[in-house]
Amino acid sequence: MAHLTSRRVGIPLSAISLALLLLTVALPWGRPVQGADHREAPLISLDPTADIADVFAFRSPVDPSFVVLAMTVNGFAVPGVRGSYSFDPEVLYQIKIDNTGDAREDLVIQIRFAGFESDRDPRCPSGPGGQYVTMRGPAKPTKTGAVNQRLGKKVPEVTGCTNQPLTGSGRAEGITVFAGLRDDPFVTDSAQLNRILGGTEQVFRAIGSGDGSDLANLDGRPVDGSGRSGFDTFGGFNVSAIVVEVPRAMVEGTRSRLGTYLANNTTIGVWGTTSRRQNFHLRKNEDNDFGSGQFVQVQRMGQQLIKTVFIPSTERERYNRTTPDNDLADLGSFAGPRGFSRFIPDTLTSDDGSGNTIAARAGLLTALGVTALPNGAPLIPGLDALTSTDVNLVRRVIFPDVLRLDLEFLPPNDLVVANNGLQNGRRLDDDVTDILLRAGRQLLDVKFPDGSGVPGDGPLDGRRALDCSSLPNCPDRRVLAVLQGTDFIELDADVENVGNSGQDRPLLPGFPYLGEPHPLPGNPTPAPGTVGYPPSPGND
Amino acid sequence: MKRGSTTAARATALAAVLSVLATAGGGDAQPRETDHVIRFYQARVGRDPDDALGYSRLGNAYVQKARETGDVSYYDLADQALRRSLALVSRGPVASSATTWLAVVEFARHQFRDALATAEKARALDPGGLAPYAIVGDAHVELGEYDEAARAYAKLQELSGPLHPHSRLAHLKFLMGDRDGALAYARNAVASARGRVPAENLAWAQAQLGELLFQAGDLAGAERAHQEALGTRPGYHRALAELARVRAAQQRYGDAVELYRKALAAVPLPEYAAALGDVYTKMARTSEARRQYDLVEFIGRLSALSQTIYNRELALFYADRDVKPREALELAERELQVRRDIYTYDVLAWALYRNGRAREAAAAMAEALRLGTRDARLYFHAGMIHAALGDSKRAREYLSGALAINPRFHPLQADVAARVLAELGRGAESGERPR
Repeated sequence: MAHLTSRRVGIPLSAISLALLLLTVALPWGRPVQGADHREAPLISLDPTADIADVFAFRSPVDPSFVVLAMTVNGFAVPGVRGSYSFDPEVLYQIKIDNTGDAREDLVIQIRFAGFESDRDPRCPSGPGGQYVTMRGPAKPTKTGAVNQRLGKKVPEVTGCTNQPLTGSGRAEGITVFAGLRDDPFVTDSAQLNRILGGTEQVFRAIGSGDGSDLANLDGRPVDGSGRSGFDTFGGFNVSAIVVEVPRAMVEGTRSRLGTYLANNTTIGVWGTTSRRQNFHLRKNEDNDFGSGQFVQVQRMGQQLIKTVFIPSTERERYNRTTPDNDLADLGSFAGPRGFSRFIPDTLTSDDGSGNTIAARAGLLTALGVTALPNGAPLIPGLDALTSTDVNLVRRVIFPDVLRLDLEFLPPNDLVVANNGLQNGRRLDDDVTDILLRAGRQLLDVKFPDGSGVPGDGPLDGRRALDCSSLPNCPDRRVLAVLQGTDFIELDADVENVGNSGQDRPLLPGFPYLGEPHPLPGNPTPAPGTVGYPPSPGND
Repeated sequence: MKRGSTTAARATALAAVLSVLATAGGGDAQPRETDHVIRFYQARVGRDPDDALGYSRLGNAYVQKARETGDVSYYDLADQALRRSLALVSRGPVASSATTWLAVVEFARHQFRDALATAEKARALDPGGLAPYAIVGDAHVELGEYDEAARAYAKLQELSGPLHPHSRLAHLKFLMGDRDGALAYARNAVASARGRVPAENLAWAQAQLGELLFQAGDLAGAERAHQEALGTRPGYHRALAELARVRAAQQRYGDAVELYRKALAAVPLPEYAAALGDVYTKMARTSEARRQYDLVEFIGRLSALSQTIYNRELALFYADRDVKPREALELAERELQVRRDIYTYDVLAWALYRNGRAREAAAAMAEALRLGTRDARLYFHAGMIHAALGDSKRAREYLSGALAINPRFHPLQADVAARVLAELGRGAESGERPR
């Protein structure tokens, strides 16, 4: 067979130029010419349907004899591809409740799904949602801990389709359930937090000249014309939410829990978990049912930001697979591998003998100018006068990693940091980031540079303190992250009020309380805060 | 020889083919999900140019777009977005994620050593994160370091759900000659992807299953799998081309032609043009075959980047066609510099064979076969090489092995295998060596 040769001798010039001409004419046609060979397996690095974004627990603002428990997954859900966000039929979603004070679940609420939004369950052929929801509980589980089983049928049950409120009857009288897409209520300038922790910036809002030279001139976001500097990284995103409202009497419990981490008998502990079946075995047929009947926990969450801020990357998987009753194991011992309290720094005390006290820290923060606007949030009222000699105080506030909801507490009192956790339960509009930052900057021990004249500059001597042994770029960047006690997302006038985080979309006054999801693209009047973009010819 | 007019005629023919591609409606029945995601993140980083995670996810979306369109220029956009993310945040989990996606980009560009190093860097940035192990493993596979690949993938094996590395393990199992294991993993990949990943990812898994079934000689199963892939993602070029291969094996050549043309209209890969040329050859439509063969070379040589990605395809093409043997060998040797997996050794062996260096070809072929992969093409090459060496017994074993895997493993080469096998049979009686 004749083949192209590279010998050009004898080819008329006209033929060459014709060929070249044809080549150049043929090239810019907008079809992909340089194709990839497409042999690469896709990289699937996220499991968003089992990745818990937040857990909430609060008394219903409509009727305080009801409790609202909620869990969100599928974080960073992009509004334009709404149909691709489903709950996973292979996942067992649970909200667990401890009402005896041993950090083990006394009751569970289990939620399971069938079908996908993109491939509807036959029981939900049309309408707002395509997945079939089954909620069972609250009821006593057969197995507690990291391996669970489904509740049997003789418990309260509510069923229906996603994206609409479902009401229970009979045993489930009084229970309302919602599962579906909502606006993500979480508010944090995590873009700036990442830069602080990553070392490219120092604080949330620039201080002084912002040139980073010393503590009076730290590098952060500039204040814009409207007086704001923060940016809600989560604004504009949706999330998949499970919301269950139950009568208080169904979860409160009657056993005494005095002397436990639940401070009184009207407090319950709440956390969320996602579990998958045991790793399935290879099947030689096309059977879709893998594995055994047990569900193994792959994630858990209680209070806000604990994993992100405190648990090292290498411990995250173990944290996800363990249970709250294990959190305080080896408390005070930093050699022990079981618990996680060793990852929380010591708490300052009211008298440590070297002047490194809670009151002195409050004074330092004030002297640095970060306890008043525009450079920071005010101190938590009265916290500087706290009398405590317990270096484990914050460890107990955080662990077991469980929301503590005192069913008798009423706002605004329920935002104090107490032995009851970072805040009372967690409401949708609690500014949980600011709460953690403010508590952290006032209570956590920091090692400042030797001889810098600042409380905490003494020798480490076994103190578990955050490392700020050089200034202004503390080696442990978390010191800088908490410094201002806020990420400045809301208006300055609202910074002090941690009951309002500056949502991008309004919350609802009634069930299901989370705001409407962001609209699909092409909506001619997107709501404020939504990222609008040009209409697409066809929706997916 | 009328070289001038031949060249001009060839250029005209080329242009005609290209203009067909230009005007072809081309695969845009695709859903626009990825476009939405790209626009969304573009708007986000426009509003907050300091959002490292936003840039990282934009890079992620560009990579997905590159996968869907086959257009490598999206990898350039991904590269830019990911580097911007790293400039904003260079430590911690966000940086680790952006770095992992950079490794994906490098891997797609066939920069396998770089991809390995970058994936290792991603691991170091977040020691508890497991995603980089997928790319570490992938890079080791292309570098022929199969034990290391298995170790990397093993780190992912404790993950359940869609994170479990089904597809990668399916491929590894296939390479190791464990066909049943490969098929089981591939089926699990499809089941675990359903409803959970972008449509293209699911279609990819379905197409992988289809290819494995073809390699197992199950044409009906392969046909089903590729049709499911096309149901998931209409116009998916890989499923179109693989279904075309099934049709050719079923001797439905007209259907094969139509499917290959559709695949080429969606993403013009040289291997599709070569395959279509072979089908035309089988149908004795020689001038149409000629046009496709010219297109193979044209696409393969079009840019420096193409030459990197298509070295092996071009070498295989020349060797298959028994043309330009020196170039084939040069390309194969160049590929071996950056890629040392069994299929690169296979193409090297085939190129050496075409250069009359059968003994060296046998040595390279032994490397290619060292894992025990049950691949009809490998067996065919091995058979022809051993025949050239006069080792009739092994030649017969390999050639009949190829035909046993799939009697119509290739529209042209299956015939060659059968013919040579028959000659070897007669030769065994008469003591002759076949040509």
